[in-house]
Amino acid sequence: MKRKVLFYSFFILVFLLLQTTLLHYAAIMGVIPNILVVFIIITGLLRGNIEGGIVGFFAGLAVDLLFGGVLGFYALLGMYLGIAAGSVNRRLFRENLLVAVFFTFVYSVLYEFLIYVINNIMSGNMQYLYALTDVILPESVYNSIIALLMFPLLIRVEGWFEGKESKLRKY
Amino acid sequence: MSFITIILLVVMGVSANKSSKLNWLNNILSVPMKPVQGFFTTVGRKVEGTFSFFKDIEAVRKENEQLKIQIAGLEKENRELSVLKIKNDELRQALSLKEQFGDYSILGSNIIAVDPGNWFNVFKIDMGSKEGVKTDAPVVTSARGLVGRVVSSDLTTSNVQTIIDEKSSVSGWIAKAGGGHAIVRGDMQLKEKGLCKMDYIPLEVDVEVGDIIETSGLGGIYPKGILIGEVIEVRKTNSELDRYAIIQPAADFKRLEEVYVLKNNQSNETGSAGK
Repeated sequence: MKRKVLFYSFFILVFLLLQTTLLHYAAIMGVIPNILVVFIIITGLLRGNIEGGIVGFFAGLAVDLLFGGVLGFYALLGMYLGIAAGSVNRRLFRENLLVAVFFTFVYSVLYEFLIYVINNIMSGNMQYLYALTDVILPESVYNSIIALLMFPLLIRVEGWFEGKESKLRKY
Repeated sequence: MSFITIILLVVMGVSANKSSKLNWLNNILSVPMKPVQGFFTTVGRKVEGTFSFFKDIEAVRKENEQLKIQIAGLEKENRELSVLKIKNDELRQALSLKEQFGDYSILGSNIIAVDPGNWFNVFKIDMGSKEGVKTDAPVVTSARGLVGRVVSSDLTTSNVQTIIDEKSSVSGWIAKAGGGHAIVRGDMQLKEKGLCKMDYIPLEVDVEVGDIIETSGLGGIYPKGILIGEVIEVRKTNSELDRYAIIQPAADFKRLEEVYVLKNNQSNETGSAGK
C-alpha cells in the first residue's frame, strides 16, 4: 500500500513536470499530448474505478495547484475521468493494448470536449467544430500514441503491485 | 463520490475569490516545484539551442561582418539622435508629460513552465508575491511589447495570461490621427500562430494594415501607451459593424524566455502581499 502511494505520487509528479516543461518541444501543429490524462485513463483501466478515481483526483489537484484558476476544477474532472475509465474494467479484457489505446482516444475526446465546453459556455464565442477538428482530435490521436508507449510500462508496474500485494482486493 | 463532488464544488466556489485564504494551498506544490521546473525548462532550451548552434555557425560568421559595418553606420546615427533626444526631453518637460512607466518599477523574470493543456496560453514565471508581484500586474517583453498580465501569484511563482489567450481582452488604442478605441482579444484559431484579433473598431476609424496598436489605459490594468502590436490584416464581413483586424503582437510568443513585470509603486505600500 505504502509502495503504491509512493509510486503513484512519483508518476504524477514526473508526468506533471514533463507536461509543463519539456513536452512543449514535442508539439505537432501546435498541439501537445496530455500525458497526465493518459496516465489517469490507463490507471483506471488497469486498476479499476476506485484507484482510477483517486489517481485522477490527485493528478487533477496537482494541476489545479500549479495552474488552475479555481481550486478543484481539474481534480473533479480528473476524478470523473478515472472513475469512467475504471468502469469499463469488468466488461472488456483490460490487459489488451488495443483496448487501452481505443479507450484513451475516446476518453481524451470526451475529457477535452468537456473542458472546452465548461470554459467557453458563457463566452458566446463557441467554435465547437474548430475546437474538435484542430485541437481535440489531434490531441486525442497523440494521446493514443502516448498510451501505446505508456501501457507496457504501467502493465509492468501493475504486475509488481499484484505480486507484492495480498490477493485481498477490497472492491 | 457525490460527497467528494459537493466538497470540490464548494472549494471551487471559495477559491474563485482571489483573495481567499484557500489559494494559499497553491504554495504547497508551486514552491517546491519551482527549481525543478526551472531546471527542466532550461535543459529543454539548452538542447534546442545546441542543435541550432551547429546549424547557425556559418550564417553567424557572415552576419557578423555585415553587422560590424552596420554598427559603424548606426553609431553615427546614434550620436545625431542623442542630440535630438535631449531636445525632445526638454520639450517633454515643457509640456510636463509624465514618463511613460513613471509609476512602475520593472522586475525581470524567467518563464519556468507552461500550462499543461492545449486550451490556455498561460505560463509560470519565477517571481512571486515575495518579490512583490501582484495579480493584474502588466507583463512586457524586453522591447516593452505587451505580453499579458499576472492572473495569480503564489509565494515564489506567478501565472501570466498572455494577450493571445482566448480569455484575455485588452482595451487598445489605434495610434494614429483620428484613431480610436478597440478591443484586442485572443482567438482560438489565431493563437497557434501567435496572433490576436481586434474587434469593436469604431465606424469612423479607418483601420489599415501597418497601424500600430497600443494599450489605451482604459480598464485600469494596463498603463496607457504600451505597444501591443501591428495590424497585419483587416477583415471586412458583409456589414461594416462586423469588421475586425488581425494583430501581430510585438511580443513573439513562441520565443519568449524572459519577461518583465511592471510593478505599480503606488499601490505597493497598501498591498497585502505575503499575508
